[in-house]
Amino acid sequence: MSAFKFDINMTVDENIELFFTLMKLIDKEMADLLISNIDKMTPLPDQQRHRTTARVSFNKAILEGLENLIKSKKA
Amino acid sequence: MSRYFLVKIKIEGFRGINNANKPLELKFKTDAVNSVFAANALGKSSVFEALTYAIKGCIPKLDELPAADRSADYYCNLFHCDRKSFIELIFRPDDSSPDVVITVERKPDGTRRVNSPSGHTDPSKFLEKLGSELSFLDHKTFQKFIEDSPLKRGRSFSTLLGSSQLSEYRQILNSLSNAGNINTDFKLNILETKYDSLIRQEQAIRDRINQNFNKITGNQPKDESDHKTIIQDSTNTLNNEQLLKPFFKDKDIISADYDQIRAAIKKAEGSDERQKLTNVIRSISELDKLGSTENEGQQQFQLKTKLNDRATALEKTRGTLFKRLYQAVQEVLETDEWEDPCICPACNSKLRSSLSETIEENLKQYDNVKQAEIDIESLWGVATWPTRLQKLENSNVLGDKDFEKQYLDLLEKFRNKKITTDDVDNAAAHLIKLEGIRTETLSELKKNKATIEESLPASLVTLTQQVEYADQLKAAIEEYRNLTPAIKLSERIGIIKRWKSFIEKASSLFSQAESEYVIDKTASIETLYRGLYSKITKNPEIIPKLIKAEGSEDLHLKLENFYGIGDVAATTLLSESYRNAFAISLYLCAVLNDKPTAQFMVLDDITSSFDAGHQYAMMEMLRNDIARPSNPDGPQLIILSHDGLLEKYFDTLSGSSSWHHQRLLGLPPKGYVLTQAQESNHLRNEAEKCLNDGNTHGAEPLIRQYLEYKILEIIRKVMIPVSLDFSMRDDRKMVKNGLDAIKTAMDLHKAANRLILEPSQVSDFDNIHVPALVANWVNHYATCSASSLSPYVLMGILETIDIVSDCFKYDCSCTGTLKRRFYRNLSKKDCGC
Repeated sequence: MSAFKFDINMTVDENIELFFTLMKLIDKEMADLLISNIDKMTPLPDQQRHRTTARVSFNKAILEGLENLIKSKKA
Repeated sequence: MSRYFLVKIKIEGFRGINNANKPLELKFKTDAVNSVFAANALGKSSVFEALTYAIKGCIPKLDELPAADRSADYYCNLFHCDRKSFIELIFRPDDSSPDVVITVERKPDGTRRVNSPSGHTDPSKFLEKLGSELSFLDHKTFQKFIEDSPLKRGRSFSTLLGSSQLSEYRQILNSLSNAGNINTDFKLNILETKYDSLIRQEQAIRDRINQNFNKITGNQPKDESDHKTIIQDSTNTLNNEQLLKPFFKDKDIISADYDQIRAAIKKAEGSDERQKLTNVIRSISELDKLGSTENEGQQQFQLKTKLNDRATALEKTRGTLFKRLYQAVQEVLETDEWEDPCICPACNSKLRSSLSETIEENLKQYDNVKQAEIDIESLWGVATWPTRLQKLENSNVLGDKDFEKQYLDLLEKFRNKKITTDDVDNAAAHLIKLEGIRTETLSELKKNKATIEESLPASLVTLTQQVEYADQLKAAIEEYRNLTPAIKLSERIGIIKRWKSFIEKASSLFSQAESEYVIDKTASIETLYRGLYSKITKNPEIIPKLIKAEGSEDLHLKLENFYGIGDVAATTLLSESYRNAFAISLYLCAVLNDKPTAQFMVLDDITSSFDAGHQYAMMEMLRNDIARPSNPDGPQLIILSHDGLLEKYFDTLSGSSSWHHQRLLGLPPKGYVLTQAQESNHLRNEAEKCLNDGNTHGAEPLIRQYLEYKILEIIRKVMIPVSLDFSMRDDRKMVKNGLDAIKTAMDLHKAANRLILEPSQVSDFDNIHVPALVANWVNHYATCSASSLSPYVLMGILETIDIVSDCFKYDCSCTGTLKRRFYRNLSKKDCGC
């Protein structure tokens, strides 16, 4: 059994919110990056090559976010 | 969050519904089961498609057609005067807030425009929210659910359970946490290799700084990273030498002019020996720098591994022409137009396995080649041994030695992607040979240095050495300053690894939780779908069961019990109707479970595979267990059907407050499609209009239809018993047969002394109006001699038809205002009046 469970009595949106809350507890900065960029991956394209394009664009945004984090810590 | 009922739809110019300037209008009750009946080709499917298009923005059935069929051209009615479609929907929220009115227009060029006359701020988004998989259910949908592969069915089921979003997130997180993807997108491998190389370079320079500092001062630096102190201490040591003092006035070892210093020492010594010593020390230093590093063997091994990977992947590819072919096939297979992945799109051959997987595997080999080439390039970029090879071959110190030069050939091969493991091995062997020459030369130089030192005054030897070491210390410090700080790279790698670890954790947690969620959700609805299934089939010997494997998207339809046998496949054993019953039970169960934004559900011909008994059982289940008002949390059902037998069931219930039935009449796709209520007024108005224009020829068929409608209305409203023949066959629904049925029923009630009609109504019906109708109209029309009747006579017939209908009505004042209502039947009023 995993430590985290979705609640079948809650809506999907509520469950996803719950998941993001947990992820913020694990690493808030990383979770914020994930949440603010996840819309680049949704809705998930049907075709593999479009999925790859979406993923590359998502990871590019994440890399920028990570670099900004390094800069903000130095500043 | 509000949920919405559908209370009205108006359709004009869409699919089979022309209705120019007079839209088909269907009203739906929120607290009743709504049924709409239409005989074949009377517009029922067009109503379903209009609803689907308005809410979902497309008609899947049309979009799935081959492009050559130009399906987009057939959304608008082909006979509509403007070739434009107009659909108006009125939604009623369940929280007493105002109705939402949305209009959807489609122009001939396919442009879709969504507006909200009621002022909704984002009508398109509103419709999007209503368009769940559960709002529309037709025969094709649940049949596809049964016939789909376990994987596709599992995905559909996730959608039904409202967990498709979870499934989507799982796939997204899985893709984002894939180690290969992270390495490719973040170039993590390359960064790590660069970092390792940088660390080694840093260490080598630090060693040189320490060694040279030690040789100048005789001490080790207290803090090897404190270059300022190292420079200061070295400068102070040199500044203590009388000969060097003038050259270090206001200068340090970095800014000092070493050529001037060397010239001064040469002048003081007065021979060439000191110059020779300087040169020997420089040569030793150069060769020292070209020594092998610890991990050269590891670098060569990594490169050879990647070269092998590339060679293996290349063997599995078939050149760029085939790559283009595979890509084209994949594109075809990924479109919705190509449904069966086991049929080759090039030659239509039936294949044993899915072509998608083969193509994916073939294309993967090309990706593997590409990835190996990226890795090779990055490994070459950070490897130190090729640079060492180049420097050794080009070293002035080794210029007089006899050896072959291989570096340029090797570089050429690398640039042209022709480099092989043999080339690396040859280069490594060559490097070993050069290393031998280097070591030998170094040994000779050191001996030479000792000889020169012996021939020179000790003080000058030391001075010369110190100056050369100072020059080398300066070079090492400057080299260190120009080096990209490894710390920067380390920070970058560190934060990328932090992301990697985070996203891996997120993916793992989500995946596990989603899998458990679907299993729990499936188990939670088990009792409900089994109950619904049992109510449709009435067969206790068959108990269905859904099997959702942990960690997989596959969903299997099984039978927990099949006449005493357990755990068998439902799809192979059940009859079509029972399979459909299984799927319908799941869909209905999902509606009750999910509670989508749309609180209505449109069911189109879902009973077509059932016999009369099962149709009845299903309708009873829908009415009693699923739909409002019996189930207050259930959906508002809108049932569309073309089944004549089922309409009898609808008709029987339509008198009650919990059932609202409408029937489509008309002449699509050219003419009008209207409901009974619309049809009646429309026919009368059109007939009157023709007569006022003197067009008796045009009015006659309309009057005939109006009479037929009114007779059938009396039969339905007052519940006149009719023969089975009349009931079942549209061609038997003749005016005369209808009038006969009414007359027989009236006679029967009169004989039993139970006729509720006023004597004057009976008398008017029997003696005046029916004979007048039959004599003046029915007979003339039957013999095609109606055209001899004047417009005034025909106008009178219209009035007579209304009076005949009025013979079956009474004045009701229950609501406070006087209203003419139909009797409930021939022996009762419809209220307490």
